[in-house]
Amino acid sequence: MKQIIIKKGIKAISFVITLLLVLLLLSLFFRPKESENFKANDIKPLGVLAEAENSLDVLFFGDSEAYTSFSPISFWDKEGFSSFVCASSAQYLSLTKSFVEQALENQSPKVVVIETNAFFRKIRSENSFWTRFENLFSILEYHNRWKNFIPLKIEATPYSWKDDLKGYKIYKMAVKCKCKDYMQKTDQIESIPETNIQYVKDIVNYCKDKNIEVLFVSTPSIKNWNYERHNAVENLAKEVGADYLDLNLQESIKINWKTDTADAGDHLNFKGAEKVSTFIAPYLAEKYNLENKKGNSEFEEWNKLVSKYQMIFDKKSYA
Amino acid sequence: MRFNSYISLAYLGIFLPIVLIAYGILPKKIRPFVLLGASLALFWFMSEFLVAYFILSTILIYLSALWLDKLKAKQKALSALAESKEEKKAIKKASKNKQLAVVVVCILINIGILAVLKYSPFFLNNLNLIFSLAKSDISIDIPKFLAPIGISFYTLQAVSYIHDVYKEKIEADRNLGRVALFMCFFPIIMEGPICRYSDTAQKLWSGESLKYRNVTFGIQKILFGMMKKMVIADRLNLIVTNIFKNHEALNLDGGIVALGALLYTIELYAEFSGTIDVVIGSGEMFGISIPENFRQPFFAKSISEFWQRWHITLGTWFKDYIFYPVTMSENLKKLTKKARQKLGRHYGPMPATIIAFFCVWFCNGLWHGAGWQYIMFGMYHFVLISIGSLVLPLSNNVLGKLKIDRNKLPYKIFTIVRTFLFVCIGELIFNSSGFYDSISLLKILFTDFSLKTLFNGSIFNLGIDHYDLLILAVTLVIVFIVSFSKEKGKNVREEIAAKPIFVRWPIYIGLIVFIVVFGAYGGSYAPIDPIYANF
Repeated sequence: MKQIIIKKGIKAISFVITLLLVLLLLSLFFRPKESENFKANDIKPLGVLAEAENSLDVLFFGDSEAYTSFSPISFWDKEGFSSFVCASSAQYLSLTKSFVEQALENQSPKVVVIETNAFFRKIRSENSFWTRFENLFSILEYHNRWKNFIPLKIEATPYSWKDDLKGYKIYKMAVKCKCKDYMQKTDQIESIPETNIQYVKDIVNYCKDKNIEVLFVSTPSIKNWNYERHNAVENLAKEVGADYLDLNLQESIKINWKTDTADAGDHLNFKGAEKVSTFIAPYLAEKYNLENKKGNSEFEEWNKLVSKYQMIFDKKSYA
Repeated sequence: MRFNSYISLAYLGIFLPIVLIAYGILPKKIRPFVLLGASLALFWFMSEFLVAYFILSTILIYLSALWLDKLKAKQKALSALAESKEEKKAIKKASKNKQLAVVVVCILINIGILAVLKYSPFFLNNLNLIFSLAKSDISIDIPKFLAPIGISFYTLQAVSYIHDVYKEKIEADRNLGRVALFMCFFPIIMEGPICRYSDTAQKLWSGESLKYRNVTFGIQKILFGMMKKMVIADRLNLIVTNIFKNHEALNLDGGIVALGALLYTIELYAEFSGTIDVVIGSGEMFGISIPENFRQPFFAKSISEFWQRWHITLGTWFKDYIFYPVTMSENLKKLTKKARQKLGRHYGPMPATIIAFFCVWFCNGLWHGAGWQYIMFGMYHFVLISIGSLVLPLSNNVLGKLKIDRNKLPYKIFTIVRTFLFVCIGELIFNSSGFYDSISLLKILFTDFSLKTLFNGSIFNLGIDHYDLLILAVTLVIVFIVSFSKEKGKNVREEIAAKPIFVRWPIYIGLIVFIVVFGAYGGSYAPIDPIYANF
């Protein structure tokens, strides 16, 4: 009996190992080559490499707060400017810097937006298990590239992996959180790690050298934000000569923490992101004088993506 | 942790493995409680405090069944003491009346909860419409109710349990845990199938050990379901939603609407049967046989046969608890007797049958949703099935004269295609957003039909591309081959299991890779929400 159990156990484990090996090999095949240059541990922001040269007006950088709050297709729908979110989960500023440098090789946006949650993340040398997992089994992200391997269309298909959501990640669920006044005014200041301050300075200087404006944005998050952090970022923005917008203090956005957050106040869901879009799209367009390119035939693809995007929003949420 | 689908990382990657491990390592006596705890936990994750409605229904049927048992025992005891046959009859009658009262009250409360939570806004809206048509100032505020997940499914299970105890098909269960587990076993909470107590309850509570074969077969079933849902249904979601929601704005013609009806029918089948495969596979891993809900429905040669193959457990529920009780009621029995004398053997039972059909299909339509399009969907099938029964002698006659053999392949193919087209029209009504919308879609379909738009490439602006069509075709061929083999009586899984490892493993790994690569997830795909979870 024991022998049978051991035999079956070995069989099951062998099957799982074989399967994982197959998926690993396929991941190597499906992963776009450019990602090696990017040195990224997350996959989503790599989509920016597939965007046409100098086609983006705004680039967003940051961690998961950025990719759940900024929706470029929604910005396009509202104000007609093109943008991309080069954000990855738990992004360290060291990685942000490398993203900024890589992305600005082919793009010359009018403004670079940096979400500020990562300012307070201490840089660790090791990456998380999930990031490593996603990186290893990148077929889960790039699986749709099979369409690039089969020549069904007469015109050539672009090699790079394109992200139709332009870096935004949709969170549809809603997990309410207890409403609290998390932005109580105070003079206290939370300290930003020295290494992070240096990275911020490097990023800002890099952008300034290319005549690109820098805007720090703190996206709404009960879990991650408070007035101490606001004060710290405000001071740093003044010091480095960047603009600063704290969406947590913008009452007109009217985030409902019962319906607009995906995980009890940590990240916004699609409803919250839509409210952020309604506020920030005209803000960016006006402040940085962004052109409405909806009528520009070179950006016809963006207009098509809006209808796809709407389809996702029309669907009912179970939350 | 939130669950909104069985085909999700939360369920398949976290919940199911944890329950499976806990079930496997704990002693036999504890295992039923593992399943019950897991089921209630999943119910809570999906419905939170609304689980109270479920608990109320469960306790109600549990106590009512025990009460019925008590009444029956009392009747037996009194009958034993009775001195005459008349006295025994009187005792029996009095007891039966009381039992009936218990059953009726229990069923009314269960159906009442469902009616209030699910249907009251619909009925009150219609009442307000009548008031406004009558130019009355009365207007009733429409209350908003939240219903627990799967209420339409567990309510039918509750009714079947209490009815079967009353009819002495089963005995009242003294174990509240077993009744609760029968009502809410975690794979069936969301989309059924509608189980019967006699089929699943004892097995669920037996705490049998995990078996390697059950677990592997369960995983295979789950994978096949995932393929149907993720590769077919999720891929079709954008184009189907676009056609149905935007047909007016996009000025779509009848050709595209017909395509929408066809694709929605495929999508619905892939989503519902795919999820049911995951449900059955989940049960199979624990050694529990959950009844099949689909038996190759698109091989049906008539609408009535289709409904014996599609959502089988709902169909049999309506047959057992509505159709038979209605046709066997005293008044209809008398009607049949009289009609038989005048109309003969075939048409004699027809009036009673048609009345029963009406009840079944009205309830079937309403069960699917609180909207006129669903009632219309039910009535559409009522008309088709009634006409089918009425014209059967005539069609037999005509076919006989034309010397067409019903059993020959060409005629079989004709009837299968005909049935499929009728089904697609039914699903067009079903997926419309209301009565007027369904009329509008039917009008476009029949008055503005053109094949031109199907072939001029405009469908590729509706949320699908050439690649999607290619992979859809490939996957549908796979599903067809498996269905055809099953139709021919072959057990595909058994056949694969009998093959040597170097054949078996590539098939299993190939299926997983197929789902990983061709699944419509990530990017701009919008996976479909479980359709039947809303019913």
